[in-house]
Amino acid sequence: MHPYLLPLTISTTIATILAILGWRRRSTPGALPFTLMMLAVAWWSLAYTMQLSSTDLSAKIFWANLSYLGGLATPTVWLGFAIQYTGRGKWLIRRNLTLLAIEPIVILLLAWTNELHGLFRNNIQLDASGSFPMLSVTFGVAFWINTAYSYLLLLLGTILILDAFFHSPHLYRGQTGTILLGALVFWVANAVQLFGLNPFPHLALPPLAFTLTGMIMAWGLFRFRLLDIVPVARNAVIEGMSDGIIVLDVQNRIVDLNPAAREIIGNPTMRRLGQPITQILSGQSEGKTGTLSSTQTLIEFLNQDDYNVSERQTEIVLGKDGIRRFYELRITSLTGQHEQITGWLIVLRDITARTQAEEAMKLARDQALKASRLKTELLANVSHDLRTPLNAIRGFADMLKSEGYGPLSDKQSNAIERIISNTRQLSDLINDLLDAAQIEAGELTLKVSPFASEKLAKDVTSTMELQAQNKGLTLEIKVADNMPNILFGDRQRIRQILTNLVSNAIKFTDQGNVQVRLDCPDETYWTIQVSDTGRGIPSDAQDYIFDPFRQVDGSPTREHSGVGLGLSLVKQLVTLMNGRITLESQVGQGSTFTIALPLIRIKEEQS
Amino acid sequence: MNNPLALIIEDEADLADIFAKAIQSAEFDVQIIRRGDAALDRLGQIAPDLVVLDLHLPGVKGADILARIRDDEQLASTRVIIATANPSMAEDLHDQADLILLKPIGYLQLRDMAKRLRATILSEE
Repeated sequence: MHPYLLPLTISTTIATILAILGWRRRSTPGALPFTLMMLAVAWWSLAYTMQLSSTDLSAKIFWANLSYLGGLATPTVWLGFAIQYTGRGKWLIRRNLTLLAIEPIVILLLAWTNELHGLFRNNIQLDASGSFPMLSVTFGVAFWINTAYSYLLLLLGTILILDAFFHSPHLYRGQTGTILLGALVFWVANAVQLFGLNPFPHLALPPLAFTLTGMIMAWGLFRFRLLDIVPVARNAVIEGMSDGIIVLDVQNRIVDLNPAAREIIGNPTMRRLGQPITQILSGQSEGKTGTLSSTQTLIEFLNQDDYNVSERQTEIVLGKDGIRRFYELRITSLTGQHEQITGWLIVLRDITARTQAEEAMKLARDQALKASRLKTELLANVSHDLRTPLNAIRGFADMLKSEGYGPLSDKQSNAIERIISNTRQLSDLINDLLDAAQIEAGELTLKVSPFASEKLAKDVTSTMELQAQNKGLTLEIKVADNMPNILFGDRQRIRQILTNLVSNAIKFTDQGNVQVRLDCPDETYWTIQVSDTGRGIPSDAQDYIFDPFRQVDGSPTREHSGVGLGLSLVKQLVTLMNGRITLESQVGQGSTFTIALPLIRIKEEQS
Repeated sequence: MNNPLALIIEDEADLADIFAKAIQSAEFDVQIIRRGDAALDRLGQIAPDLVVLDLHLPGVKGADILARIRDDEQLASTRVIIATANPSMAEDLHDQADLILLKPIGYLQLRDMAKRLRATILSEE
């Protein structure tokens, strides 16, 4: 058997397999021309095998003529592959394909009709000198024209791929490089053949070389196929994203920018490549203060020679069409292989909506604070103005009551008593309102001084004694033995708290007693307990009893006066003192309010 | 025996009247001043035995008048009752005043206080 048959058969088989492989992966860019190329190579190898294995001249010529079909198609299809692979697929329109096909078809026809004109082959004969009969051919002018044309197509394709190799991102060079390696194989093989260095006499290397090329290309194409979609996706993302992206070289000149960046810079159509960024930004909106400072910021930003920081971030304002827009500007340094700075990547994100929302929120908050302050001031003024006439009413009522204006009948005396008691309620209410407003505005400050706890409790109960007696209640104080005599605290406010609780207890107790207990359970806090034997507070009401303006009985016909500020005020005061208030109550069983306050003791010798 | 002299410094006419009545009924002679600055002038001319002082005054503030009284040797024996609606202001002047009454001030309360003061004033003389 002819020694060249085995490699050629293997080559045919491999090329066929590769063609099938390419067809299966035809969605990969370049896979379809690759398939065609491998079909051509497979055919070329097959026909060549048949030619070699034929023994008589006419059969050999027949197969040789058929093999040209593959040999002529291969360079053309290679160029087609290179065009599609490098993203120039839109060139492959029917007209261009037809133009590409003209030359090979003409040459093929010339080869097949050689006996009429001899343009392709001058002479052909059977060389039977070796152990196997071989074709010995002297080629004509058409062959050499085609050879030159084929090299041209192969060269063009190789140049396209070489260009893609140098312009593709690092990540994709593996694939492009592999394809280039494949191209190198057929260039070497062709050079060997051309310069007569072929170690195998009469063996045409190209079909074998192209099979090897095909193997390497397939490895490159299909091994890296995961990446195929990525360059497209990356492009689409960058082109379509709303953030502006600008790439600068080390001289701060714009090297690349996406449509969003062009939009931000203010000229959507012009490509401003090569211009310094600072010039573009300052020229973008003259006379707008925001931009001037933004350009300034950017220049300062770029001029910071702090190469240790690979990413910096700031906010800039750009004016466009008289509208100010806020951008978050992020600059990342781009470094070369030796960590040297090769340029900058600028990302501009429009944060106008966010900034405006923040500003609106700040404004709203300021306004709310101002309104709250005004409310407090108003309440303070109103309270003062309400108090003054109230004091006069109270004073004159007192004078009448003391018969300073003459003796009173029982009815008159009773009426004056009612005036006085209502005046007192009104006065308490005004005080509560003022306190509540001050606490809410955070303007109520505590005045801490030493005070005698027991004396304070007694002062409070003595002023309430009469109220309790009038309802037939007993009002008593119990002071635990461990209770320090002198404490630190806001005497005035503690008195207010206690007064409120005791007055409530008396108000809501119809029989039995009201008890005030002072205790000091441990070294960290002391307690005031006010318990009564009154009607108690239903459990659902216990949840809201400390809310402002709430009373257990909120009905208009309720028996007890007051707007319900008392307990909420007590709770807020206790909270202000870092204390805690708790309530235990059952309907019909009475209530116990417990206030725990931090214990601030003064030295023993002073007590 | 002459009645002791009380100076009422209060800008609210009605309240000043009530204070005056209460203190008169405790057998003081009473003068009323409605402005802080006028009160300072008057204190340069007379040495009252009792001053009823409002803290919230036009002209000169009550606290300044109190300080002036405490600094003046001529007024060393003058008793001062502070009448205020503001408990924390009252708390601040705690040591300087002889008595602090929180508004609303009861007529009877003021009258009784004045009576007691009159007794101590007379016993000292």
